[in-house]
Amino acid sequence: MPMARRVKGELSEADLLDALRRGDRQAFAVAIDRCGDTIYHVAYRLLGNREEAEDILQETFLQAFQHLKDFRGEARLCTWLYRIAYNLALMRLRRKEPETISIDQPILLENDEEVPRELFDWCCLPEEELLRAELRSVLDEAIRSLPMSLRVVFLLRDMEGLSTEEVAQILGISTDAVKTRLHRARLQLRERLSRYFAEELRGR
Amino acid sequence: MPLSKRCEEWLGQISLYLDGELAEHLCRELERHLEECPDCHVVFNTTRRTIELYRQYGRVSMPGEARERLFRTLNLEDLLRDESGSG
Ligand SMILES: [Zn+2]
Repeated sequence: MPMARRVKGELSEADLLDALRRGDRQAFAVAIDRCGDTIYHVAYRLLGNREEAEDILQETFLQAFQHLKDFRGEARLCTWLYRIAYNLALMRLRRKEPETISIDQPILLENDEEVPRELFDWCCLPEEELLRAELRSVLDEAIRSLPMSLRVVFLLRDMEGLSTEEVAQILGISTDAVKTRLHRARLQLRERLSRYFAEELRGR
Repeated sequence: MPLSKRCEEWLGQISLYLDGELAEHLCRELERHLEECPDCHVVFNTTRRTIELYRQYGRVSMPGEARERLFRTLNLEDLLRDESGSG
């Protein structure tokens, strides 16, 4: 029986999967609205532009819906889709810049970035102060400067709110590696924001 | 002045602490250190704030037109109107 009504978030994971496997078109739409934003976000942060992020979004759903049989339900549907999206984005990156992409290799320690140095205390300044400092572009630039292996962990864990286990599944790394990378990403971002705010706001 | 080794060690635990994964007795010790050490206090607070700012302002969602084109690609365009919220 086709779903009478598509209400975001209401359909259980199991029902959604059943419906997808039956080829229920409403279910495809639900899957897009449930997982699409994060897929787009991952692709955008990895590839750095909207056109390619949209390409990945399309490729992900095309590929996933063609290969639904291969999905055995050992992860959440969205997790499986994120993994496909991540791999597609990675493949595209490798094609674009084959020498610079090394997600699996240990990242060279830029120790400099990970031992906190800038101790300007901006934590509790009113948001308007921070916003005045072109916050969004500052945030974008700081995250873009992270090595990809750290960037993707930070965005999935902290921005998208996925669990450590899910992120480990998506990236195909251990949960310990997720935790280590997350910590390093946070400290590097903190350092960059601190330097920026120190320069902009110190002494006001 | 660089942070002491001891401070660096404590700061190495703040992510686990923030994620609720640090052992109870270590939490208490870390909290005590944060109270006593202004430098670590700043690093801790600004780290937490960094995460908050990204959560609040850093997210990017698929643009409406991208969603629309995706629906068309998958021959789902008749379902576009159904999006909850913007009826
Ligand atoms: Zn300290």
